Amino acid sequence: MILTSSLYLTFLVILLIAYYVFPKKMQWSLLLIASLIFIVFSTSNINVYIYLLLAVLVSYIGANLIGRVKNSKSKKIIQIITVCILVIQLICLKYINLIGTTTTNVVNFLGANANWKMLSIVVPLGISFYTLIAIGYVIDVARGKTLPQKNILKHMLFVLYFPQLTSGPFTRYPEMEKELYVEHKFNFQNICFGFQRIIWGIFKKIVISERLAVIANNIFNNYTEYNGISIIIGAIAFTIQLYTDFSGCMDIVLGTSRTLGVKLPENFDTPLFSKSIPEFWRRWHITLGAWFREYLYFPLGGSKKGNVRTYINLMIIFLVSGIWHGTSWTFLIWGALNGIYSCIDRIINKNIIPKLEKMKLNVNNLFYKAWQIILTFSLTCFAFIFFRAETITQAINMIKSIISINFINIKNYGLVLIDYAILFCSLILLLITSIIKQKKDIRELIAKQNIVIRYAIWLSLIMLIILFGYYGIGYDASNFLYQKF
Amino acid sequence: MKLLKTLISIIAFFIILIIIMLKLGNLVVPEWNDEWLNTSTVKNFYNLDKNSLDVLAVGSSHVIKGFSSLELYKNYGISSYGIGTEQQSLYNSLAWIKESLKTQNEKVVLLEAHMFFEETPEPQNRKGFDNMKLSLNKIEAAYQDSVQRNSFENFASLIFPILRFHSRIGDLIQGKVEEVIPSPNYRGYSLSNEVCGNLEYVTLDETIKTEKPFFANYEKYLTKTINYCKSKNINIILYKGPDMDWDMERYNAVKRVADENGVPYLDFNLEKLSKEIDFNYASDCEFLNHTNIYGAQKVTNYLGKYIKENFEIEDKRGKDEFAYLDEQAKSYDYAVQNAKLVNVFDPIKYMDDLKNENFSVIYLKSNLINTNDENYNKIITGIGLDAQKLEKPNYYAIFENGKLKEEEGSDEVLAIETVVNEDKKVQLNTQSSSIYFEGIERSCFHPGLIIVVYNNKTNQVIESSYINLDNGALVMGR
Repeated sequence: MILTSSLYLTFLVILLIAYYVFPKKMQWSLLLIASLIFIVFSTSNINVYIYLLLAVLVSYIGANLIGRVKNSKSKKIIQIITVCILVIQLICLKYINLIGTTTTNVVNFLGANANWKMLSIVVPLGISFYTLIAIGYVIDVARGKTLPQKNILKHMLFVLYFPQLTSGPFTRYPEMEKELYVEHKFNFQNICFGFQRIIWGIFKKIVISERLAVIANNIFNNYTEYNGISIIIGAIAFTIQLYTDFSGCMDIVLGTSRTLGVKLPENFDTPLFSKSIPEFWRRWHITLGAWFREYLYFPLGGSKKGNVRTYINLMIIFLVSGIWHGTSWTFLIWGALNGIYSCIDRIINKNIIPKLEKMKLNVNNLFYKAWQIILTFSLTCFAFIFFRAETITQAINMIKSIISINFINIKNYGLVLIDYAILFCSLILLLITSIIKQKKDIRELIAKQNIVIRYAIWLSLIMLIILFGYYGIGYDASNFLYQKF
Repeated sequence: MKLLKTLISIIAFFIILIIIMLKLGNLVVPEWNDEWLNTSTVKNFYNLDKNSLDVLAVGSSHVIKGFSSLELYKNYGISSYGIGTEQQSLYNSLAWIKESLKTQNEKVVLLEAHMFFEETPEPQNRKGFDNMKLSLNKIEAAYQDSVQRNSFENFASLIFPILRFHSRIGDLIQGKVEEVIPSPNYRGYSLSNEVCGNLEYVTLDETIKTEKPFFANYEKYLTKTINYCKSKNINIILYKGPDMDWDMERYNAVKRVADENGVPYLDFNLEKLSKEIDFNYASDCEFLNHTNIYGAQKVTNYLGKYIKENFEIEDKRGKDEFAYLDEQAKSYDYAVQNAKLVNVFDPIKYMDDLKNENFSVIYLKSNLINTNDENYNKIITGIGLDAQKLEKPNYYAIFENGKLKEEEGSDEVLAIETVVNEDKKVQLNTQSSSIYFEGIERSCFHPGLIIVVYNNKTNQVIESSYINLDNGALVMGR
């Protein structure tokens, strides 16, 4: 079920009516039923249901076994076994072809004559999300941060909760059990704010992101026909496309959850205004960063085992994050670049900035901040070339061709003039709201206005989506990018 | 109190939203007024006088091209309307019947069977829905259609066309609006004078006893439509116009349902009926497997006869409140005249047809003409042209309302500027053989006597033609 479809919105309205009309003690059961309906509407492949059930069962059994045994060594063993099963499932479903082809290539390079036949596997939507959520839960139980959920249906709801199932955010059980299983009173503000956020998310996705996708796809899919400034435009278009796509998706997810009274963690905090790469990663896909910090970086020793180990740990985190994002080595390079950026940033912050401060150079002035934002954005765009490119060779060729000089001819990027006008105005709107958002809650701000202004604002936004959305016949709108991870 | 206020504000919000969406939908829905007249047929339908219909014909293009309401009025005094849209689905047909009953009390519904076995493609389906006013009938039909297509988006966009045509708003902003071509109102009938000449058509093989299954749940829906008409005391007649794609298996299926429900089914593809109306596919059908004006007249007249014989319907001709139908029938007659003239290929008959009081005809002698032929002279004198003047190298004549208005023959080049039908400007030049009518070149530039025919009643240049001698034989062409 596509989150921007009218089917999804109808599904949500029906659920909300049932959710607040039926007795409150039934609320979590309704959420589970809704999640199962959501899955059935999303895929009819029976194997996917089995994979999902397997993840639910393995994490349920593992966590409950950990909860029963007293011996910490036994706990550790059960934790490792459970996590391994979940990771193996992830690898088998998502990475088996990558591993197979890479191994074959290596073996062939060494002189043998191997051949890998690509396996046709249906990868469940959001497998990377629910697997990590389940792993996090098992580790939290093993660490004693929470008790295992005895009711398998409640546990199933935690793993398969429909708003977060396909694209996150990554939730943690100790927080979610206070949200999912408690009774929620009807709160009109939650409904209003939730739907307002959904509308804003749809706007970002189908008015902005889908148009940027046309530009990015044109340039990346036909990169040999473009060079110079066009490649830069392609990289910028893709970066903003990905941001508006993913953050738009999160707006829909968090808005949906808010209408149900279930608070989910934020995943974005205007990351394109970041002044450094580490800051970018604290503001972009926040819950993924938090997950890696909690369950990988800290167990590896974090920054407490000396500089070298810190840099190694940073590189590990970003390499794993890279490969988590996709089944291509380009993602590994993207992760590696972000790791390198972060290490360099750490070196600069530890060694150069203190010296500049000692020299009484003001590193807090506006121009320096603007420079930092532009630099961070540029580095991010540069890394995203690897993220979007099909192969490493393509990414390298595109980077090489940046130095060529060419003319800008925006008509070559696949949009018509009216689309550029809509895109430009929408990006301005996004910029203004992003600036305001850093200081004030926009929805609160609008809610304080009188009914005419409020209605005018929200009706206008809905009409902008309906009139200028990149959807329906004649448009080739895509699904949310992060749902394939 | 607070809850009530909240509820009212939510309802108000959605009402405003729905109104805006519907209004914008009206703005962006395209005008489909090509030969199928989808938009104008629907718009004219909503403008019908209250309780003015005796008969309503519903169905696909076979209604648009095969059922001529004004023919029915002219010959039987029956007031009817054909609400046919391209590949109209059965869901849509029932919705139109229900819609009609809001303002009409027709006694007979003619339901054309062509689409009973086919899915309506999305673009064509829209044409039956988009100009229908929002009502429970529309919602029900859209719902049925969307269930069958398994598409919620289809339902949403049928109710709110703005969701389907939103991309057109960009065109409107840029001023790219298509020209709305005014179409004549023949009460749902689209007149065609194309003649296919296809000789492959055969009537149904009545030895076949098997049936073709109806499309989706159409069998149930057909029964529902029949029962609905019965419940409203409407006599429903199922019929199938002449159609090369129709077969006996489809006939058997429709016939069974008609028999089961006790309603008549008239199939013009059966040999008996086909012979009875003297149907000739080659001359009575156009290229796209639809009846042309000749076929439509035959089918409609049979239906009129059947209705008159089986149901009591008052003759509306000559009644003051239906005087507008007389006017419409007159325009229709002129149009038929125009249409039929184009299919005349016998020069003698053609010249005879041109002696029509509704026509203005311009004759211009092109320089290669041979005026010494006996047949040629027979025509010339038949029309009333002066043979002596015509022998001159430069010649023209203008007939207005069937009478000679101007004629001149000269050794010198003639360059004439004159008017016909009070104010229509005509410019002739015998040297260049050109005939400008209202500033537009209409000459066919062919050796012989060049002819331009203008219908004073329909204000149209009907055609440009010529008559000439070809190896001693008299020929005409266009």
